[in-house]
Amino acid sequence: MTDKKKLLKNRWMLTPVEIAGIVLFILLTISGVVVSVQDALQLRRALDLNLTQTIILNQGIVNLQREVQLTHKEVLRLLGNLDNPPKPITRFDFVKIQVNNLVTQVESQTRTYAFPETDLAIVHEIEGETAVIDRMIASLDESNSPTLQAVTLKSLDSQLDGLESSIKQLVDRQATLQREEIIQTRDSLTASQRTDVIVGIVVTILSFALANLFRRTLTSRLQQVVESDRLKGQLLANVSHELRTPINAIQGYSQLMSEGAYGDLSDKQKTTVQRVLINTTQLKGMVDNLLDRAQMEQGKLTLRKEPFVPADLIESTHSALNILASTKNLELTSEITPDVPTALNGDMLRLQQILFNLVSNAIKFTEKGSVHIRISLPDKEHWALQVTDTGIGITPEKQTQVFAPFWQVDSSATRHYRGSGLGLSIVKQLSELMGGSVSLTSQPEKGSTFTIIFPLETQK
Amino acid sequence: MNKPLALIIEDDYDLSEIFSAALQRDEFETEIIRDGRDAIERLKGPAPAIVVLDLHLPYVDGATILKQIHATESFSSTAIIVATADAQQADSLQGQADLILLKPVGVNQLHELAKRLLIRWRQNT
Repeated sequence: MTDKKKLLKNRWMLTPVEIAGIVLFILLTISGVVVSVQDALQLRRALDLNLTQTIILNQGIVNLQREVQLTHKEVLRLLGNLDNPPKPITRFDFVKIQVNNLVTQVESQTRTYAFPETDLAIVHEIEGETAVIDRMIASLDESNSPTLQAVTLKSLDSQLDGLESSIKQLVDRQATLQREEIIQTRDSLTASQRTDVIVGIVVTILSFALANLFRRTLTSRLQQVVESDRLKGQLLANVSHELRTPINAIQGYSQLMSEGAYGDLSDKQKTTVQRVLINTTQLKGMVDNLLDRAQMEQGKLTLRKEPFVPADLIESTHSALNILASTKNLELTSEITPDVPTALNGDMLRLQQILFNLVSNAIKFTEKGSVHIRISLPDKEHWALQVTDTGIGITPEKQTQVFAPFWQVDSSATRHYRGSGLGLSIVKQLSELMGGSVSLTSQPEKGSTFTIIFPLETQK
Repeated sequence: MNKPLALIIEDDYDLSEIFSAALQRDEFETEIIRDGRDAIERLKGPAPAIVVLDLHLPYVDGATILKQIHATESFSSTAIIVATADAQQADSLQGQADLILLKPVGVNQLHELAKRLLIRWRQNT
């Protein structure tokens, strides 16, 4: 089952298109949010700037208005005191300073701000009136006649009246204009912000739709993977089962034929039939492994627990693999230590398969010497199945890898040593399902020993 | 000396031939029956020493034949060997047969079995 999980995990790897999609989704979301926030801030700043300018201009004009009112008041006070002037000169001087002030103010205000064209007429009027007042003050300086002064002051009064109303007009006009401008700016800002919010929402929705689309694509792909994996397992289980039937028939016929059940054979016929038998036995081992692997992946492998005779286990392996060992001039030996009970509990068929795999593996990787099977009791609660060979051995670095499925010591070895590469992984998986643990000791060029320790469950 | 008779009830041609050849090697005479109806009919005939019975058969299934064999008095001393690939079914028939073999059944297994049955048969006769 763990292999299946690994398989699924590997299949979760994203294709470039999916990665691009996810990146696009993230970029779209981020850019959507950034655009709306940035624009909102920028427009806010613009609005603030506009308001500040408006306030400054207004303040300037209001100042001007106050200046004119002050001057006017002073002129009126002078006029009231004309009949009885104690120190008219001093008073005139004050008015002169006021008027000078006023003139400077008007000049600076009208020059600093670019008034809209509609206001320029009023501005010119104010400038004209200021110039007249300036001249009047100058003429007032020259004349010492109180009558003339009175006349001049009177006309100065009316002139200031005009200036005051002109400035008031400008103030009103500016106030209206600026109110309009603020409203306009606000409206345009709102419209622009609204657009941005809409754009942001659309972008976000779009990116979420994209994300959803990708999620669904991935989910359906995962389902497809799981389904195809299940179908593959089912197919493998069916095919393996269908394969076993004819293989068993071939194996049976060739064994009977080699035994002479169908009449005496010539030497050549006998060795040929034995070759058929060896190849069929190997093929059967591979198909059994595939079937078991498929069943394990499907979670359908069920183990039986029934009494079996350890000697039968060894005998069946001997009879199946003796010919294979003898064709390589290898000695296939076995022993059961005397302390082993005559009957053990377990799944005989699976144990046969484990032993078949270990022994055929040992024969495969041994060129000369022997393969030895041993059943013993390492302690009171366990029994051990051991296969020792005098073969090529396995280096310490590779010892942990040999139990991985489809692995062989050297991948180039697959050609030399035939096999599906499933044998040892099946041994490990089956043993562990039975509560056993597999270990390996090996020295390169000297040989290997595979040991499986099972819990001892003797028949009661 | 008479040879014991092995009645092989098996619809798979190859399996029945292999069973037959293996048992013949071990000094049995063999008779092959390939469907359930013929098997029921055969119960009227002389009793064999052993019956090798497959459970999936055409017309009448193995479990029914097993019951019929038990009900046939002349077959009372016949050793019944059931061969099936279905482990669950094998478990459910525990106690109803002298031996239950899980397919695939190898030739060596058959030889071992035949030897033991032959000894038993010789003791009984």
